[in-house]
Amino acid sequence: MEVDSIKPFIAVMIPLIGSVFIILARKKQDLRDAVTLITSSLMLFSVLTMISPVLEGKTLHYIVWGFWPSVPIGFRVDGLGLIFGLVASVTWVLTSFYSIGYMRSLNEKSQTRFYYCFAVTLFATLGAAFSNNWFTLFLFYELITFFTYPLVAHHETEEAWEKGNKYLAYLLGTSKVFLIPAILGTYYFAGSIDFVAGGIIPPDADKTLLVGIYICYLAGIGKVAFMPLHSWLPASMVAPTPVSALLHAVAVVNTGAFCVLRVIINIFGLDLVQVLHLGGLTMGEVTAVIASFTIIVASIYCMRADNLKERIAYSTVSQLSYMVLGGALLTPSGLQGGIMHIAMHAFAKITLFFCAGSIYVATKKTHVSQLHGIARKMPWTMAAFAIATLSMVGIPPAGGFVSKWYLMVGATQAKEFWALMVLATSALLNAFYFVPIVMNGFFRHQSDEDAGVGAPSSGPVLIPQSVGAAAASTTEETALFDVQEAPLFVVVPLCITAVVSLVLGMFPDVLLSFVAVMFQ
Amino acid sequence: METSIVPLLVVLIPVLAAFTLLIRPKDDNYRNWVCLAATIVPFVLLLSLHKGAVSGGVEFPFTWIPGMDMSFRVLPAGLIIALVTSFLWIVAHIFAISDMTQAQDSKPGRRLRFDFFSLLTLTANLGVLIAGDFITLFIFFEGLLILPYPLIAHREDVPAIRGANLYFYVGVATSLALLSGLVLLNSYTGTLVIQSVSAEVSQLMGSGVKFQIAALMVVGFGGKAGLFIEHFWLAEAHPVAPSPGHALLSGAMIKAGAYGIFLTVNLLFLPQGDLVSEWLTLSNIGYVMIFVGVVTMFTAVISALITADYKRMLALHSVSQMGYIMMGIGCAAYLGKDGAMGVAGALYHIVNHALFKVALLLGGGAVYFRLHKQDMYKYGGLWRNMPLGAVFLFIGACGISGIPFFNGFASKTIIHHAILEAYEHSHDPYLRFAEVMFIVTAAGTFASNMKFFKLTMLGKRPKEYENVESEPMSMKISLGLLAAAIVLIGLFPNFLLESTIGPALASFGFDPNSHAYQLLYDVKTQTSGLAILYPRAGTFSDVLHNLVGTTQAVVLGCIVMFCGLKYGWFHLKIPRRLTFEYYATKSLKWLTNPWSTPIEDKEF
Repeated sequence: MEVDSIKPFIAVMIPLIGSVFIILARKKQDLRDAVTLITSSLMLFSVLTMISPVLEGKTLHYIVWGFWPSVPIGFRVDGLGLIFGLVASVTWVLTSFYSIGYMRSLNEKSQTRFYYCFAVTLFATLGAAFSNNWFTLFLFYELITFFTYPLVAHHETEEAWEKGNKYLAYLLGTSKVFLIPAILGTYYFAGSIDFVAGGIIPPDADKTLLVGIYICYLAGIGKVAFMPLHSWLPASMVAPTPVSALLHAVAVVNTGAFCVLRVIINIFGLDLVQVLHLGGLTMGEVTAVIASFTIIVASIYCMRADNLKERIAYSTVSQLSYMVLGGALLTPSGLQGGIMHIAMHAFAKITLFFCAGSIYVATKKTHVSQLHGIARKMPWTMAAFAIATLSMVGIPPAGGFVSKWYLMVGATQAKEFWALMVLATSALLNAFYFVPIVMNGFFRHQSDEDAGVGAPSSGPVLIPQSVGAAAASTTEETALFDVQEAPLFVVVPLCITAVVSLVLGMFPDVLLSFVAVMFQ
Repeated sequence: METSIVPLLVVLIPVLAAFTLLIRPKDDNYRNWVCLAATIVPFVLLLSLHKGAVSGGVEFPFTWIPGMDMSFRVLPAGLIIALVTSFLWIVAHIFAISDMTQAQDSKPGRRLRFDFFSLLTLTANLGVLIAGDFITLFIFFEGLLILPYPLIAHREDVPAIRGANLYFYVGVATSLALLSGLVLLNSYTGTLVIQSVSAEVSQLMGSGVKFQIAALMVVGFGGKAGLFIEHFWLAEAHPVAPSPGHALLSGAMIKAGAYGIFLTVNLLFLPQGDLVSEWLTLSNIGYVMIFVGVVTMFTAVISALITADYKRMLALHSVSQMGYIMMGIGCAAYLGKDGAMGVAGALYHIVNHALFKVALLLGGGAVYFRLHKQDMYKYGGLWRNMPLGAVFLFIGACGISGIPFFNGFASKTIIHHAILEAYEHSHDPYLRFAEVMFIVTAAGTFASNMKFFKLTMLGKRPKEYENVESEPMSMKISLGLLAAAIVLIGLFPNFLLESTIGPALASFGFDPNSHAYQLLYDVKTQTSGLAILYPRAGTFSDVLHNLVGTTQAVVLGCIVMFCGLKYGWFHLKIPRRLTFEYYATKSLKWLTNPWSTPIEDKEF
């Protein structure tokens, strides 16, 4: 049932208005940060008001500007959009607290620019989540790219510029070269680019061209980070950690997965994706193969990455393809799993990034091989890290298990048993690259660290090297880190996200009800 | 089927108790009492469920993933393992009261961590055994994967962490195999409720899918149970844990894996009709399991014989005894409707192994507590210092060797019956070979454990041990409890058959009129007519026959032991490169720490 409502418009405008106030309050640090907190809370509240109508089976509509009747700029809120919007707004509130703790502890520069760009990016993300057609979505998609650039290049070092440019080149390049033709092609065939349940492309259209358009969509949505178009994501890790946490674990990357799911569900429709062929493979299988390739290869990259944030980034590359794989299986359970994974992954991954930032704030350490025994000093951070790891590997009761279960069931329903094996293998690889961090953190001793291994890329060396093994247990308490947990503003948000990812795993029917309304 | 909240309480109480430990983290006394209460209460609750379980089962339904029926369901087979599991927890915690005061175990926070995770592990373990569907079982099984990690890595030195890592990664890999199997099962049958899924499985056409599911699930559970090829982590991970932790791992936790294999092989693939092809699938699976069991038991016992570290030796014996259990499970499946003997033997042996293995481990642990040496060749003549400990250790050794009047005798006899029945069923010469290997392994077990007892307690006492004190009181109590259980089961071998194992047979689909079933348990009179130790109405020859099997094993075992000690057979070293753990550790090292090869080489 389609209902006209102004709620989506209000929700989307809140962060844009908030960003103006952030500029106005630039002279007073506390006031500026308070504006961020208030804006994010208001946005969360306005998104929450949309839950009950959507759960009743309604789809909220709002046309902002109908300058071109067949392609208006407007909003449409359905289950998929609302899950994404909710995840983005909940995590933004937590990230706002976290950023305050993080940016102040490290005395980062240009904080006003940082908060301003952050708010605008959230505006664009929410707009993308609630878009009603590809034109609106494309506008917000590009807006996200532009406004995250200053965040990625925040430090303004040579490395930051270089990686920022790489970021821009990948995301803009793919969308200009592939996404625009794909959208135009869709308009040519369907006469509209609206998102409609069941797809809009008429089934009697030319199959060869449709395959071309589909492939263009896959290549054009660079934010989903399919290999080999992924390297912008690890590059973006040069940004401050709150940026990596919210944008490169939740907002930006989920926009990518979200766009692909929109293409599969609302543009082509599940039936057509199953019919289109390239060689012997249906488009669903082609997508699944690309996603599986990304899942496995990115996991292998992860295992070789010693920089903690880089490792988490590669894990994001891998996990994004879970969501796409779920959609590409074209079965109810697969789609449920894929959509649920947006939320499950978001909370687990943001926890991991928060922890990486927390460790950096407290110790200036960035590499996995430096983190032996870290949990003795930072038990809360590492406990949260452990919970997020459980979710990543998919061990109950953490959230990742439920979405993985649905994905696996979806794979067997689709009779794609290799996809089942891919999911199982990937979970194993997940264990190989995340669990050692937890275990070494809790059980190893600092003295296990080797002098010549994993030299830190930045930050002073706090640890006197080559502590003898015999002296280890005595010196460890005093001579090694003189550190404690990061400030509360940093630690509390990451504990909350970890708890949320546990709660989502224990009560998965909350999320499932959103997904269910989509397929009624 | 009655509904009750007690099964939920059984898994909830240890968790709640674990968190109450955190209230007074520094108070040892408080912690000991809470642990004791938290382990005794589930035991008592489980006992109270016995009546309901025997007469149809006790259920507690709940929901988690929408659309999946989930419940706790207490059935006799799970109940008896759950009972012995919680009994072991009581014993281990009593033992821990003094054992965990050792310097390397009682560093700040470590004792609290041990007790905390031990109680959580108890929940996970009991949850596996009283789960009513595979998804609940899987959740607790995953708990059993994570929660014991701190128990193994307790000492935080390199071998401990290495063993714990090996344990964890093998566990993750195999649990993913299990998950894949469950997903397949779910998508083919639409249900994972243990009691009803076998009806759906039997409707499946084609045995290919069934073999796939069976293989994935057996591999998945086998990782925990220590089946051959998946067994190598046991010898690395178990011995590095402190004695109570090792006891729980070797005595109780590997039984959760065995229970899973039970469900998979003997329940899941149970045909509903009389279709020959279906029974053939089951019997093929059983045939494979028998030989998995044979290989497991024999290779492990050989490794155990040449091991000097008593903890490692006992861990290897756990693997070997799991081989017996697998053989029982295999025989039951192989014989189909006439396989009651196999299931009964395997169940019985699970209970017995838990008792005698823990008696041996903790008996050794008491010696270790005083001497701080794990090499059994460095012990000697300690009966003078700890006479009671010597008696308990001897009882444990007799139990594991299957000596009459001790508990191992009953279960080994029943499994021996089962393998003989399997042989007589088809006259397959390989099964005869399996039976011979059974006796040979029993001989090896006898030799190895009696050697351990002899080297520890008998013989000449080195001078430096003259002033060694006897073991503390808490250890005496916990060992006494175990020894009493071993002797009581040994003296009344039919009691467990009549009270729990007999009723448990009902859910495994055996023909109640088959010879084996009637011998084991008469449903009408609720008695067992099996002549294990005492002759029943004209079955004196059966008892004699049982004794002949034991005598063969004992005589052969004595020869091995004395020759081995005399000619130094037990000091044989297997080249490292011929062992699984070498390659497992190597590849694990590469997988988890690819960038730091130099330091790892130095350590491992």
